[in-house]
Amino acid sequence: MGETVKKERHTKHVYRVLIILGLMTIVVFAVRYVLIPEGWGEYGNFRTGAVADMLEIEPVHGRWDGCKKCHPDQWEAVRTADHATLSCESCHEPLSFHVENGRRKTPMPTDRSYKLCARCHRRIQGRPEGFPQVKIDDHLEEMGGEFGPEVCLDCHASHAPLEGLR
Amino acid sequence: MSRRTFLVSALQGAGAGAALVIAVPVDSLLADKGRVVERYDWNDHSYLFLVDISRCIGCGMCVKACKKENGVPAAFYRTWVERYTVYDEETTHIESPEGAMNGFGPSNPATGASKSFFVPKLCNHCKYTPCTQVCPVGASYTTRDGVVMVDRKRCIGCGYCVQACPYGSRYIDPESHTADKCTWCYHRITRGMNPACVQACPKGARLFGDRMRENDPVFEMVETRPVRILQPELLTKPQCYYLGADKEVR
Repeated sequence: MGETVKKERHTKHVYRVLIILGLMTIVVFAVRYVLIPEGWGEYGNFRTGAVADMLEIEPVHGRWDGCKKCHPDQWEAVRTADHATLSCESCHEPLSFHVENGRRKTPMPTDRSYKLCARCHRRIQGRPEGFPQVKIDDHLEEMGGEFGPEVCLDCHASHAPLEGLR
Repeated sequence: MSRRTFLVSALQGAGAGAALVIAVPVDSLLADKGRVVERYDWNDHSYLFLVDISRCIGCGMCVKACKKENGVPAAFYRTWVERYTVYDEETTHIESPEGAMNGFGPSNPATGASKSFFVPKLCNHCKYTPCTQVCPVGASYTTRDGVVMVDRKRCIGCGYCVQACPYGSRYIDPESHTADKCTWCYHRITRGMNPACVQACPKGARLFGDRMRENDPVFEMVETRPVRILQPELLTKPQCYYLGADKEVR
């Protein structure tokens, strides 16, 4: 008789512990569910969707030969002359500024300023010898020219700078 | 159902479940996230970057292209160009006006300088990167193809990673208040294009390669030419290599 009472008491304790443990488990999983975002930990300590977000960004600059399709003549002229390694978008604007869904959106600007040329060709400290560079004042004195904001283009064609010097 | 049949069927079910997990190709999970991802498998790529210092002319076209490609806010840079002017063993002057976004202006030649050169800088995409280690929310991560990026939706902007980066490659975006950095133009390279800075460089001073591409010229250069990495003593294993870098470059 006494034994049975003892057993019942024990069962009660076990149930209480089980209920508490069960509640704790539910709380842990609920907190995890709230805190851990979707796609977490599939490939590492990050959200898989973050990579997908990056992949969905549309490029602003086009491909290297993105301008060739519509401007084959200019493309050819640049690629066969001394500015062959220049990207069109470096001196003009990114392709997406000019084209949208394969159609012209905005006219492509042309920077005729001597400052654009000077970025690469002004003689400054640090520029490797052997790269064509001039001190603008000295160059004008030597070649005979008047300084103006578009002075370089008086003689040089930007697409083929050393051909047909004027 | 007897205990035996129950156990047998349970085991069979577990086995089938395990087989299913293994059979699903890992990247199908990424595949259904967008059309771009479908034709890109990050297991097929392992990227690296090479900067050839002797070729850099300091025009800053790379910085301009990066700014436009990634909408980098004013006064912040994901890539920049530094001019080193070495006077003697003790004295080196380093400058980077506006990150060289507009190139380097006319300057008085430094008297007594023994050498001067330009050094393009960007995130080194370290293999053992301190910036992702310190992130408390897992917003900084490394992709399988070796690019270190930031999850802008997850980042809390604590700036811990900005402090942890020994190369100064990170900044807190003043608008989104989240960390940001060079992604090697992940949206471009996954479409088979070059990063914007590489495409903009007129002298081929910036080169982008892929170890897993057959006969990759950039990987070959890294393998055969005397390249070095920046601050190797930190053991971060940068994936950005420098060719012709003087001992002063850090």
